[in-house]
Amino acid sequence: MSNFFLFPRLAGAAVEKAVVVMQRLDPITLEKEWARKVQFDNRSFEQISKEGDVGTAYPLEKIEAVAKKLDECLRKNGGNLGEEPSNATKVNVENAWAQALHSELPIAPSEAANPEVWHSFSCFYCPHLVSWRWGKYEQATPHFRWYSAEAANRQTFRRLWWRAELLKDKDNPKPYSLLEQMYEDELVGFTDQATISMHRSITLEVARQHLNNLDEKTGSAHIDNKKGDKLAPRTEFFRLFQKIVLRTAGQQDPAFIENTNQATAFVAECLNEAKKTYVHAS
Amino acid sequence: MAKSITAPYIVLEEFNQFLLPSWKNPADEKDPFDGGYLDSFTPTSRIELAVTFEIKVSMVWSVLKLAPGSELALSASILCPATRRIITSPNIALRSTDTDGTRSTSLVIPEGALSSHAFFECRLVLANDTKPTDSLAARFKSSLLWKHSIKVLLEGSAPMFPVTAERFSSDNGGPTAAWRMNWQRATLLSSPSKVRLITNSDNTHFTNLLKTQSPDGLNPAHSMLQYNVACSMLENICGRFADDFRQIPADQLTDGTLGHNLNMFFKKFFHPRYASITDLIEAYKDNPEQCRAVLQSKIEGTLLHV
Repeated sequence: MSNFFLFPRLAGAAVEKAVVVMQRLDPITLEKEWARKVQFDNRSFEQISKEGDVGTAYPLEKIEAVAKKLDECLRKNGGNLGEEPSNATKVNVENAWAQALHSELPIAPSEAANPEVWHSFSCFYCPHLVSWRWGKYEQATPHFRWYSAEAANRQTFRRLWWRAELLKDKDNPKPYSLLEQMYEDELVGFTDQATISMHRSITLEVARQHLNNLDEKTGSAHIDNKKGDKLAPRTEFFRLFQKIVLRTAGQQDPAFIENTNQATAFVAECLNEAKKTYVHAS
Repeated sequence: MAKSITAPYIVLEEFNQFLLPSWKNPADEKDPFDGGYLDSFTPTSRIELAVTFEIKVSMVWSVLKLAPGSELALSASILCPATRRIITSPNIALRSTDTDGTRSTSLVIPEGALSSHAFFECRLVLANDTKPTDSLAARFKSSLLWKHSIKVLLEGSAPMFPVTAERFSSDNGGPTAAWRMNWQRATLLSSPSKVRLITNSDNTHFTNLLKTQSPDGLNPAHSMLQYNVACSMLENICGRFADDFRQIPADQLTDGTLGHNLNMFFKKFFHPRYASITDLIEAYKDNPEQCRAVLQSKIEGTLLHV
């Protein structure tokens, strides 16, 4: 299959050792002296990286071009490697990174599921961006934002690609607008968990209905159906909404709901249940 | 409306006498089973699977106390947590007047959709809103009445432990050594990642041999490595871990432990010739060469079988 692209995978003790050094350095040093130059036990990236067995190797120069776009995203969204970023800047830059990675890399889900693919970005192409986003870590072992086989949903770039994949709304003229509007805490609790996010139409519908339920002026969540009457803190209410979706999906079959085009009604029912539960609890 | 979401109702147990699913892989006639590998899988595979259900319709209605007008939907899905994909078969519609017997459906795994492992699930769902007389019977559309799930590992994309490259010190054979297994920090209850296959990054001759593709698809270096790694696993099961396998209850070797993965290895290569892993350990004590020969016979697609 010619269009199944293989991406370089980076793993092993030499990479872990390099991360232990890199995570103590500042973003400017990393950009100047380490990004795209780092050696792993005196071996180059090309020598140490591997690819999967079946498919066509994606050209390294194209991957490098995407990595450069991530640098542009940082600058265009107010980021500066020499400055500690504000929370708002982090959010804007990460949204831009997620969209750039997802729209520019022709990577199949089975490749994107491999954490070693994303180590290439965090440990070779863009170590300065990881340091800018998360700060320095004085640790003797690699930090999971750089290198992690097990807590892979917390790896800097992998988690962003998957969020974009799960929340891309193909029918929307702005396909990544749901991703842009969701808060970090909401994404961590929802799209980073596999249980419900496997059901794509339900995932999109939860995001849509959650965002539609927010008060235009205050940004808080409506907790009754007469808009404007009662409001609840957005993220707190979303946690409850999400719990009810997960609980209900254990009793009502989400695959059947999707196949019979009932996702909108199912999520609306869960939202109503969340509103009633919230009112009772408060 | 809120009550409809949480109201309890009767469901069928996963293993019951009225509804029995079986998965078939028509391409290689090796049927997926719980804890087994989906043979011949690669990320670019497009695989069609068939699912057959043996169902006693009247008993299902009776046990679940469903209203006579209930309509049920029977379906099969493959769920992959790593790629967040779910692939679902068309529904099989069931009514109370249907006869007992066999029902079949199928589904296709598209290329690039799965990685690592997947859950093969079968489900029975209430497909319409009904008004049963029994207060504990399911009444609302989409109510899940039964679920059966097996976990299948995807060969070719799910190594049992990490594979890494390092420079070998002279203690480990120096630049001319090709590879070694590292079991030093491993216990049956530890993570499988404590075991590693380490290739020697200085031995470029060997790594190039591993990458070489011959026209017939066979690779001598791969074949040799595969068999030797399997032997290393066999030796560790029957040597280092033999006492632990006898002493640690099987239910403690849960998914995510090395013991679970070694059990999967046992099931793939030695079951049902040996009923349990302790039987294999005894057999290995008596005649290790015979166990290695069994292992050779089961490693497919390699030069061992040309």
